[in-house]
Amino acid sequence: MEIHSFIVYSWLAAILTGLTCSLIGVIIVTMGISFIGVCMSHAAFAGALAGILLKINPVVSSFIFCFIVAGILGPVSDRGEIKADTSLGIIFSSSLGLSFLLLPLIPGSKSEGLRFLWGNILTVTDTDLVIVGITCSIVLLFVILFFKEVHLLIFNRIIASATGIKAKEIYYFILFLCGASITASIKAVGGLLVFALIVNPAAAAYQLTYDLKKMFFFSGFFGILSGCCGLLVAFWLNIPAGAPIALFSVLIFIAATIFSPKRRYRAGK
Amino acid sequence: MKKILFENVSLSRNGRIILQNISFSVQPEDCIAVYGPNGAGKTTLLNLVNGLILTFQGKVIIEDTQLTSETAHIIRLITGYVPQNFEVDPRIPILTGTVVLSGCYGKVGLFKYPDSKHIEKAKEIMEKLEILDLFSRPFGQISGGEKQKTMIARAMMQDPEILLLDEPFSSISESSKEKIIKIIMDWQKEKKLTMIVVAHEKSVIKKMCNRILYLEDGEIVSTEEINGNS
Repeated sequence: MEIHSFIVYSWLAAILTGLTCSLIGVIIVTMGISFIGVCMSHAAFAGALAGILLKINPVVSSFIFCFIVAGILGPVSDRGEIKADTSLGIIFSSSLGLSFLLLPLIPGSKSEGLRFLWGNILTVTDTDLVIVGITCSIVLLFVILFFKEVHLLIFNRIIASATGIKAKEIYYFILFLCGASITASIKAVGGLLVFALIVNPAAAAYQLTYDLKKMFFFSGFFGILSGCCGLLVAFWLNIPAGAPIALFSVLIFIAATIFSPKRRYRAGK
Repeated sequence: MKKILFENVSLSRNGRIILQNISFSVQPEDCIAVYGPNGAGKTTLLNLVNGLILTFQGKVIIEDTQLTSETAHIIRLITGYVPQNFEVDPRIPILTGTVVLSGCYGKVGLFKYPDSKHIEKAKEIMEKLEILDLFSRPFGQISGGEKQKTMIARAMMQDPEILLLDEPFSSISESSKEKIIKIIMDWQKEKKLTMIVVAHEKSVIKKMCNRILYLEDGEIVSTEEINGNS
């Protein structure tokens, strides 16, 4: 790959992963299901390792693992036989256990497996960019086309169902989209740090406004900003970009919390 | 203007019986009250009417439509539901006006958004319930009574044929309660609504309903007709 293309690919990956994760993050954070992001990212990592071992495309196996987790999480939490946080804990520990089991089984150097844990935005290929680009477009289209349904679901799932909205189907689709966003971003940001891009920009936006549309704008902007600033630092210090991207998103969250009008409102009450 | 019919409806969850052999009917334009102690199954009964619970034995029939997973969506569209006072995250990103407007989301349908006529209608309803000043206020920041009025306004915005009220006045002040009962009763007459009310206050029930179902441990133990409200 030419130096010019590798730089362009890195910037595009930073922008697209930042936008994809931060948009789906708004839905996840406002619905109070942030831990689903942790579960999905670990499932994606376990899936990537399984792919490497079975000699199939790790991104494809990551997608499959995330979709299986999404397919389990929705119905299990809906039935109410097991509490949602318990089922999340079980899936999280299973994914983590599976990852630690699979990693030593990879023959030779573990670097290919660990690449999915830490991520490396500087090594994304055109195929990776196409995957994250398609995922980003689907997330954007979903937010635009289903905005009112998502808004009501965030407010209350029972009320959404009672209004005649297909709340269950849309909720399950959100879980699948969350899985897809994480898988598409895992190669660039890594299974451990992708969660930061899902939660932090949305949590920062949550501090700033009561308007969901503005929240999506703020979160998307913060996601892209984290990606770009993190990438600049990675170029400057010659380190993998995942860590600075995650840390920038934390800094943005801290700044948003300090300047939060909601915080001032509560303090003034 | 829909008839509601329950035929031998039973429901259990995790081995515990919630409702047992429930049979009753509500005629079009009637208003019945469901009365009983906490845990008697009152809210569950309401959730059966609007198709939020589908795992039960027996039959729930709304007019000519039997409630199944296939028909639940149609039944929900014509059923307005005011839940018990519920708490939300005070920072939740939704304005009170949007909550009211959301009543029409089901009928507006996918890929479409409420237009200026819907917004006007939402404002009219809010004005009637004296909460128009809350239109642009975050829903999480308003009081419990205001939240209940907002949920009533949301149900009115849905323009339903059946109205289910689950302790709708528990946080509303005595002075407002009278006004809101009158608004709901006028609305019932105008739209010919069939209503089921869960309430703990006999005074509210006597003003609104023409029959009381007494529920205890998931069973109807008695019924009482109320004269003068037919």
